[in-house]
Amino acid sequence: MAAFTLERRARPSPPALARALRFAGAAAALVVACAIPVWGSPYQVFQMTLVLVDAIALLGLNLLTGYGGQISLGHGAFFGIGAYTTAILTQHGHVPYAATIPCAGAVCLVVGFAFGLPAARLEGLHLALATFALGVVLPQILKSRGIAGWTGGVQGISLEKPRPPFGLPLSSDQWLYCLSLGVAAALFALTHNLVRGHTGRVVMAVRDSPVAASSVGIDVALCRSINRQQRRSRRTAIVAQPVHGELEARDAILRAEQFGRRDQHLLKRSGARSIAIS
Amino acid sequence: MEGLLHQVLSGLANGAVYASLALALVTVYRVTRFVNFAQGEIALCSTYAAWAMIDAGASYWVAFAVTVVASFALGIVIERVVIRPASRAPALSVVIVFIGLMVALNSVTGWIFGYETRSFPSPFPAEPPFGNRYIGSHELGVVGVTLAMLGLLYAFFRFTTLGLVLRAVADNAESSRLVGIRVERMLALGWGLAAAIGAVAGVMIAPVVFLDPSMMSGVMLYAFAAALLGGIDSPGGAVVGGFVVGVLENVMGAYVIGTELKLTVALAVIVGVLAIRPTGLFGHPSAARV
Repeated sequence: MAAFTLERRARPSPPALARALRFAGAAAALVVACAIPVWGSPYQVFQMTLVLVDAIALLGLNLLTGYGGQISLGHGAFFGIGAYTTAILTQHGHVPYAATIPCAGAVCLVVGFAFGLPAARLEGLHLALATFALGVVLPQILKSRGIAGWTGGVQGISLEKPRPPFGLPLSSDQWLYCLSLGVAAALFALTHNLVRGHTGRVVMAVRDSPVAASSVGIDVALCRSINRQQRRSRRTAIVAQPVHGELEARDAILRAEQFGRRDQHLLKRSGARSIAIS
Repeated sequence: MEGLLHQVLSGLANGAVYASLALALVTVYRVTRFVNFAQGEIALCSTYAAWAMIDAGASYWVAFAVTVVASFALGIVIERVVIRPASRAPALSVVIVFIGLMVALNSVTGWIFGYETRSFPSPFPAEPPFGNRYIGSHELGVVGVTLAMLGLLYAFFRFTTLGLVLRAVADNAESSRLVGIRVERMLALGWGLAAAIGAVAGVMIAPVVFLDPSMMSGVMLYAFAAALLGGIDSPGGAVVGGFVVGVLENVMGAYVIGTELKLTVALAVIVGVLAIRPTGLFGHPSAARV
């Protein structure tokens, strides 16, 4: 795979006005994003945190489906795995909350790759079926008695909202928002670079024509599972975040629904319901 | 040994339901090349409709017959209104349409009938037949109803002109159109049949899993596994797959992995079949021009 490089398509540079407008838009978005925790009510801050969490989840799905052309109806499963990783680490391992996010990412990366390798040989409907099954089955696995000591079984795990570190003068909601914003920004930047670079072009080549891609030496299945894994790692982060959301142990059902809507309903079944750690 | 026999027999009863739903999936797949993710929710609507009629005082078999006919009509309407506009779209778009349909039907059902779990009457007596200790009346009845339905369907496809035409469309829509068959009508008919089969399956499984808007998610997963195991384009394979998955689920649940992880059997079957033999036991490999 590495021996192969697609030629970079010459990209016409956008006109100066358009570039200025885009820059102004990004700057305005940044200002608004930074203003929210300062002037928003705690509830609004929490809502916006959920928006960011959703954005990260969709970023993962976009990478997998949009750029990779692979259907995933089991997105929520990875969401759930990441959330549970964070929850178990903080609950049983007393790991600081922020440190669990990369751990959750790593776990999802491994699981995603393991599931992606067989699934990557499938296309279209078959892939949809396999991922659908994963999404429906995962909650049952997480709730099973064998691992209930870790996952809390049907009760789930309730966590407290993380306190801001280093004695920062922030409330929990504000800290959660800032953390989500930072993670979201970092992941968006990473994804942007990824799809513009070599890997992104290979991924898109596999999407546009698997046969052509394999005939020029790309290992299609491997590439797909790598995609998957990358997406997943992203998701993972995502995953970690819902946990944030989850931490607010206020209205479990409402939350489950909020999380559920994210990836259509399947998430609700798999992700949210299983995640709904309360 | 007696326990095992009991598990196998009740597995066959569940398997009959999975076989019906898998058959509905295969019917839709053969005429449209789509896997109908919304099949379970269509059956859910039918089952709730039957419950509403029985609750309002209708006799069981009248409600059953009306439900099957109404589901047939519902299938045709869904094909015409939702599926046909998307029929030329890429696979991903079609899957999204099905997921949307599934969510919509599920939510509408929950909205109309509520989310509480209800019991559903069985038309068969409560005590086991002939004083045996291995299989209950409902289980035996489910197997009987399913086999009768399969016989009718076989006769329809094998011995009637309409069945022949439907098979022709499933086999080659383009050529069928050229010899003057109204392909769209046949597609609608296929959807109607699938919805009617699903309705029978839903009404048969409801006394076992209880009536609940999420009752179909597990059942459908087994049906997907059954359809894939038998070969997604093989009606006979779907029936065999249904019974195999039903027995496998029960025996594994009772002796190997415990009832809590039963759904994992379906996942293992789906991933295993797709990884080892994607055409299933009786399916045909498909070739595509690139």
